[in-house]
Amino acid sequence: MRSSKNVYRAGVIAAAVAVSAASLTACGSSSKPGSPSAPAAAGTSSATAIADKGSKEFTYWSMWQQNEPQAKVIKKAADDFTAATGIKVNIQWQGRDVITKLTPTLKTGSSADLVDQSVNALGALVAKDATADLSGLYATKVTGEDKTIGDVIPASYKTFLNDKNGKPFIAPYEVSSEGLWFDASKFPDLAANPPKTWDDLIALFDKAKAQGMAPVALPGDDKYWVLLTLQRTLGTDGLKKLASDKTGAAWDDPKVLAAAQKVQDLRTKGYFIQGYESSKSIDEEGNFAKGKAAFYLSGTWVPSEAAPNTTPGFKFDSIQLPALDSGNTDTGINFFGFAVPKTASHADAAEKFIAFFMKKEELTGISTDAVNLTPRADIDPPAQLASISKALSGTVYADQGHLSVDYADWTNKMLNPEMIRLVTGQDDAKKFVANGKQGTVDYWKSAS
Amino acid sequence: MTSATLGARRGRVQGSPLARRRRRVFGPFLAPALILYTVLFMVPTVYSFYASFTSWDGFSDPRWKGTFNYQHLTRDPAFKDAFFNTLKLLFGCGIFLFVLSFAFMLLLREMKGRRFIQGFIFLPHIVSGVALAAFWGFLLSHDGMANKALNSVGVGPVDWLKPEWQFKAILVAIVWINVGYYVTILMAGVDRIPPYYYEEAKLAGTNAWQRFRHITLPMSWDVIGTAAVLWTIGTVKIFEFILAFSGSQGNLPTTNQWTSALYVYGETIGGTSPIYDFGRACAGAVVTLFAVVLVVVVLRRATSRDRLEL
Repeated sequence: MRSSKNVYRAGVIAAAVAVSAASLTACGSSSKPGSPSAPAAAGTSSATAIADKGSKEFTYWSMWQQNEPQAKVIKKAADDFTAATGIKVNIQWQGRDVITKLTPTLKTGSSADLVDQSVNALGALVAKDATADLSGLYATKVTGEDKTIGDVIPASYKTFLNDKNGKPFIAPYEVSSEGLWFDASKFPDLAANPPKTWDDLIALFDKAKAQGMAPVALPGDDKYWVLLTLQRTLGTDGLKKLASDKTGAAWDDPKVLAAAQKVQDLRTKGYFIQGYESSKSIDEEGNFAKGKAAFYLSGTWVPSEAAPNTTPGFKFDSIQLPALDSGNTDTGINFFGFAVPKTASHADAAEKFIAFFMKKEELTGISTDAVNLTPRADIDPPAQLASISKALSGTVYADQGHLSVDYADWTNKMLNPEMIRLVTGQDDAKKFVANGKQGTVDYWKSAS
Repeated sequence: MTSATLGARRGRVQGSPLARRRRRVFGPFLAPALILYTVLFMVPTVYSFYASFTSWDGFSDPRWKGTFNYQHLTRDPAFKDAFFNTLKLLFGCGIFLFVLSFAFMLLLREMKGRRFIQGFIFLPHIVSGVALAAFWGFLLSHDGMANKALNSVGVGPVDWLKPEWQFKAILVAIVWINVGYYVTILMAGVDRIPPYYYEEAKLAGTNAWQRFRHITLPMSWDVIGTAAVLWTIGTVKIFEFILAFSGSQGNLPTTNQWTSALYVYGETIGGTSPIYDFGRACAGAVVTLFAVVLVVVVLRRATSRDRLEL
């Protein structure tokens, strides 16, 4: 009796260990332990175009799902490409975690010859030195046009497209940014006369209040208000210093408190929509589209996402936040584009496709069908995004100061939770600064 | 062991043709499962132990770092959050869940149409966590069903999902999802108890509590123990509900809502800008594994009784 019980108990414990092991397995199995280091070919980086091996097909792993408008534009381009060149495009719609899926295959020969994601997400591959240098591609002419790919990408964008050696690793086909969205049918002159100061902005919000709308819709986990107010107050370098200054002294700058105070005032003075603390971006996008709130600070995806919920006559437009202490009026920019893994076996065909897709005729679909911005200045932006497109023709900075890439761990564990605490009123501005400073000191202590 | 005893044993086994034949098929039957299990679970698990002592991005070769990752965990507020949240789920939810399951079970035993109600409360367990998270969000959001109901009686609205309540909402949801499952397990255990025990007890003039205390509880003790172990293991794997409920647009939930499983995800491939720190994630998983094993051992000791043969 006793021994059979022991066996039973041992079985239960073994089962417990086994099932818990499943969670361990999650981190053990996603790579190929013990596989040989990257093949020598991966190390040969040259500025010249990838040798034309005459590949007759290539595999493209896409960040899009098949039914998304971008996917349809790319699929059409792939079909046109095959018809024009005879090169077959094997497309796999992998979705947003395409880089995570691709990573384990990179060492032994990439499963994809072409991949796309945001410049930030592709940064993970760049950090592993796993992307091909696209200098040669940039010097290649866009299919059927006189200009090279490098020519059609604005010069102001290029520093954000390079790896640490100054070589481009991404060929962007879509550009995104953030703006303060509003319904131009209600504020017809606003885009032409945006607020110049914070006081102007508050006056604008008061106007919205007078019209019976909540001035600002925002989700409970909003990060834009704090982050962009800090960027406007400190400038982009000042924003980065909050993360990089290991002593935490950057947080002592009174401007940080002043910026936090502005966000706190927006909340305490009733400019934020009621109940936002417990809602998500999808709800608040809806509140904005239905006219319950006049303004919504978010990305270039808002017009396409919120369109189905809009009231009749709704006209999307946007402004940028006004200059604050730093005088900085730069616009944050993010890119989505193609990269070629270094170990891809049909890189030549993949590059030919990029050159084909970058031509005006194909790329225009990103603007007309997917309602997004392209990097090409000669493609008209969708009307909803015209104001942001104009802002992007001025000085740009890497979206959100590149914090989520350069200081990803700090951003996830320190900054984001603190920003949410401030924006939802769990902490006041002073507490935000104190926690930010202490959190940064602790972070660097634990990281060292 | 001496060769003489070995020989004697072999002699005994060889002596029985049935035992010999059984021994011959034992290997072929066991091998496929054993090989699969070893390759898919044990090797990665053992590798994870090794990886927890390295710096590893899941791509390059791991670099030995000794106990650095473990030291980091002691200073990492996100891991502390994740670990204590897992304990909250394990013990906080656990106690509530078992009390509730027992209450339901006792109520349902005496009820007509118990199969239907049992099926009804079991339902959330078979629905995907992501769908449940969406439903929970619809229910509790500012314009959600809960507030609409309150509004109709002139109360509210209540900010159910404000940040400081969000993890509490998750705890309640986890109980809601699991209660049907544990009612079913406990019910199966209690159903085995022959009715004449209760009849006897009733004749002896016992009340309902005495019958529960002296018949139901001791006679279903082994089932309760197994259910507790299942729950312990289950809590470590609670993941997709929290991710879908609190994360949005590919972003991770804030760290004060992380559990051990979310910590592993957040330190590796989770979020819009993944960190790919597999070494640290493995260290977190190893610590959690040991904690779970400890709890399971303690639970088994605490619920260990000589089984009552019916």
